[in-house]
Amino acid sequence: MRKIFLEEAGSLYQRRALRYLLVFLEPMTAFAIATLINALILYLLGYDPLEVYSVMFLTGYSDIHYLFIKSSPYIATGLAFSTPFLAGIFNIGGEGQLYLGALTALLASYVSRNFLISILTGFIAGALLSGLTAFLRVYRNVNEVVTAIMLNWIMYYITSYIITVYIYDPFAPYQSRPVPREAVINPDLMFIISVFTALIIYIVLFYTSIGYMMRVVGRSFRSAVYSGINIKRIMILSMMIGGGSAGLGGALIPLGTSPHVLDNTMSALYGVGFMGIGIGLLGRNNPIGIIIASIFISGLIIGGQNVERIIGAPPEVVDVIIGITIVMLAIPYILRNILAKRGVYI
Amino acid sequence: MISDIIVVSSLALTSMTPILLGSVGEIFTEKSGVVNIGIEGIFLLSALISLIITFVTEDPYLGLFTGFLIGAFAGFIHAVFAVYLKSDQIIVGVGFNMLAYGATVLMMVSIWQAHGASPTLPTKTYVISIPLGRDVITIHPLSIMAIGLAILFWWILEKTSLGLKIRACGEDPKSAEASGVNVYLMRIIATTVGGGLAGLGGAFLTVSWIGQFTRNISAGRGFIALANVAFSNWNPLTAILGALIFGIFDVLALYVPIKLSSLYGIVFTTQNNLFLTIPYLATIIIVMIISRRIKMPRSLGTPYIKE
Amino acid sequence: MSRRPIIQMIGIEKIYPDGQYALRGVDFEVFEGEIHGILGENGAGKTTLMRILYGEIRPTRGRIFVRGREVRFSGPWDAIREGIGMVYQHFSLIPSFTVRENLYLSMLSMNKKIRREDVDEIAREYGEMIGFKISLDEVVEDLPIGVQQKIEILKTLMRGARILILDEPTSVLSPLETVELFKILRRLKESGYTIIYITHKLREIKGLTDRVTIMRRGRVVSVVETDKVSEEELAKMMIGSEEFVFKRSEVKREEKTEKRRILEIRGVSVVDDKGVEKVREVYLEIFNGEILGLAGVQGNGQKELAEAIAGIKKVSRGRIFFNGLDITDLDVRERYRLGISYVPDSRGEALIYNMNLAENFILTSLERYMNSLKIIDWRRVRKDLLKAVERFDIKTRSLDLDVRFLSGGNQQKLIIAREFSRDPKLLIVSEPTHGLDIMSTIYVRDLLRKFRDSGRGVLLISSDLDEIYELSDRIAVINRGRIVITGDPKELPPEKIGYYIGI
Repeated sequence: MRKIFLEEAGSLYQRRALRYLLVFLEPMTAFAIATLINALILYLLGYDPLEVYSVMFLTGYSDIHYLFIKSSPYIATGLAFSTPFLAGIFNIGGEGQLYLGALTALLASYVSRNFLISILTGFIAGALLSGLTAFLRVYRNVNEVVTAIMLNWIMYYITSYIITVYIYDPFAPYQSRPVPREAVINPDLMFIISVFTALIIYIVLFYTSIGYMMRVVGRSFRSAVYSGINIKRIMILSMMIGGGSAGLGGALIPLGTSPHVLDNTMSALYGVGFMGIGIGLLGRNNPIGIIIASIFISGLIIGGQNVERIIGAPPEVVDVIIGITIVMLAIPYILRNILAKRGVYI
Repeated sequence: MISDIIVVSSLALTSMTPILLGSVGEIFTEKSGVVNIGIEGIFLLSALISLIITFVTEDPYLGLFTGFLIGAFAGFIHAVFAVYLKSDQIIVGVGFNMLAYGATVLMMVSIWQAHGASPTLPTKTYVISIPLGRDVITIHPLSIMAIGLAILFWWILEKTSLGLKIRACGEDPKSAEASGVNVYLMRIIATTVGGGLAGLGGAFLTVSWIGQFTRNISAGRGFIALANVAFSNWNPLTAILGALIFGIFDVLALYVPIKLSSLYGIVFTTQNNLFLTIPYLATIIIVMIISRRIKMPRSLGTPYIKE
Repeated sequence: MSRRPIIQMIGIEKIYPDGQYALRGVDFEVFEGEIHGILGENGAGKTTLMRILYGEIRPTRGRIFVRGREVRFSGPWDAIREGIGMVYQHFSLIPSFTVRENLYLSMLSMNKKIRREDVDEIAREYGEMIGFKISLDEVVEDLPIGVQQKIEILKTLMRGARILILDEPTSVLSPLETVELFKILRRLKESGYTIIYITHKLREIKGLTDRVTIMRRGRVVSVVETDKVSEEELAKMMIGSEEFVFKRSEVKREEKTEKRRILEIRGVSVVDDKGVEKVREVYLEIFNGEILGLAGVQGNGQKELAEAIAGIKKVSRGRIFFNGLDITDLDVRERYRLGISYVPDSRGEALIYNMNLAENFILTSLERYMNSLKIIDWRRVRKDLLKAVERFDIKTRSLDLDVRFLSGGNQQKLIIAREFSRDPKLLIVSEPTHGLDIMSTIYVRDLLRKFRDSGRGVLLISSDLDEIYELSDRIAVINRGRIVITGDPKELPPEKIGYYIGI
């Protein structure tokens, strides 16, 4: 038996097609396994998995327009995880960056009454928060995972505090005053902004020197040192792009989704940051893949909400599925390795 | 003032317990070269399941033991992914935490139809109560046991041949294998046992301490335990001190507003949120101060691939 | 010496799952109590054969007899139980553990009940036998490489090995340490041990072994008694090609009229991360049209010196001048842009294995392929890369292939192609032919000569003295971070260099 390289089979286009198929197949395999395991859990807890899944998949994707709108912040948090991940640093602080982005955008909207300024504020706030995490990692050797989780909790409580103490709505004190009408954006624009961000990050990653350096740092520290890349700067930068993206996602939520407020339990935001990890991994850390993964997972989330309404199982069932999917995706290139064992290299 | 100190430290003894058990378990795991950031998820899962078992059997000690088993099982699964499937261990941990969060809510809803919190246990584990002036100090025997376990695991790691083998796997698995150590087996054992300790900590949360399960009950303690691992410089004995410090800040988050309101008559309602950031802020600051001198196992987090 | 074969390997074949032949039917025999050399080039199959004997790899076909009895090893532990021990190039000691912890760990695998005191006792016993004394409380990584190797030998003996396999043991040793190692090996032979010694160095075969098995491309070429052949004959058998001439710096070139100094190093010291001074007050010059060969045992500060010139490591003292310009405070990229090029000894450093050829091609010359918007012009990258692939004859199926799929020789060619296409004025190259087959080696050395002949400078760092002599116009020797001698290769015979390497 000899080595078979994909590179020598078929035409250039066939090879590309095959490669894309594989890139798609691996996450889907992981997802399929996750739905099976989750079905078992549901069954053990007394739910009918078939019923749950039929509601989830049939209703989740029925309203395409809503699906796209729903996916907008998830695209942003997916990017928040993946951009630093490509540079070799973990951003699981998307949740906190999202809260801060939403809060600062809200505050900025009161003052500026302009959505662009608000979004930009959210982006900068998220970038600064993740920049702090990266700074501690790079210069003080503090594990970025621990810092990020701590900051998530701190941001949760601080946001809740500011909402209920400073900007509460006198008629509904558990939530903030709404975004001024001038700063409210059309839900469609949310999606456009997110996709636009993804495309920009795509270009940065694959066509600019900064993006190239990020990917070198993420794949080989030694080579980065050898080629004279300023690793610390690149890591912080990648983290700030990620955090900024999460902040932007946070900003979009009050600006673009009615009733344009934040409440003291962050119900519109909760979990969106964490879900970004699953989306980033499912999208194979590629901005285009992340757009697709976001739309896919948004359908699940919508479906999950319907499951609660119709069957009574909590929407957290989606967390279970995505959690298992993430675990499965941690196995490095499952299919590719199976193929490699058979002598096929891709 | 003195009574404050005594009360706070006795409360801290309680709040440090899950952190200490989680840290010692994680140190044991990491010394073998595996990093498991799923401590948070283990806390959640074993907190809930041990509570269920206690409700069913009315035996909190069986609940604690179940918590240990759940943690050990989770650790074992993590080890399989880390050791045999060569997975990215951080990602497995992140995914597991998410799974555990979702699964516990799912279970809570399906069993009690409760979305926020479970019913409260009628019987918790035994508590030593010492009256002190107007206050009563309560000490959980498991807190003392946790300190004993920390010492025991220090002894295992430093003084026994098993400990030597485990440490060898974390330092240089290739050489360990050449010296006749079964690296896979050692990593599986260490990760499983480490997960078990964390599971005990999770069970303590509900069965000994709080008496009920609430959504996200661990509230980042699993990650504070991880921070304590770095703080302790991978030494279970130092981890006792670290857990106490983190435990004190955990107590202060609740104690300071109560004390302030009793002293000055201020009623905190919404402001409470600000005090709740204390343990997390303290964790970042503490880790920031000490983390320059850390000496972690050299092969931490990297899969060992047999040729 | 008894003539009883203690080991017999018959018809050993090894085909890897990807279809590559490593061994094509090898017969191999060792007599009890002899020092038996296995001579061959990289890739000849020496190490594979011995790893089969040690039970690490299972042969595809063939039979193995130890003391006349057929054995089938399913792992090194079966071999160890038969009294076979192996000492690797890379030691299997845990660097952060003490000597005692290491020995105890290894003895635990033989006897679960053993106590630390017993281990101390056994260590003393065997230490006396080979004349080696060591405090067991020392931490391994703080000890010199030569001492670590002795601990490794001690460890193997303590596990009851009677047949010792050593794989290229001197590649990390100074000449003096080599002499000590040979003393130990001869002592072991006198005590009745059998030693199998793998090397590609003719001198060591002549100086140490009783008999030698010569291997080439997975086959045994011949088995001879060492004192009956000359080094030249051994070399011919090892390399095989008749037209190959055993050459040593016969290159003659007229002196350049104008000698320009490309690089000047003035009193440079470098401190490593642990605070140890690795390079100590080095003064060196490199002129245009010359190859300066820097000889020395690995780990004597070569890497740190090279990295200091490239700007990867900061100097703690001294200045570095490049074409008269003080570059001491410039960063790596600025130095690369000025025309310095560095090819490190480890390909994993110069290449990112899981990126493709095109991505690797711009690693050190990113600026050249960026437009004013800092966007990478991938089309131009591919055009240049394609040219380089053709010119340097890099065998690849596609420019989109991850470089980990290339062979070692092609990887090295890609690195050199990349660096040459930058048109550097000074090339620092470290162990350029390490691990390459003979054809690639000749090719790479030719490239270096051509580069020199085009009037540029080369700093050649190599622990292979033959390579140093073959290529260098001037030689410098580095020892414990100091340049101990520089001079013309014609006036410095290898014995003298060897002396300076080892003092």
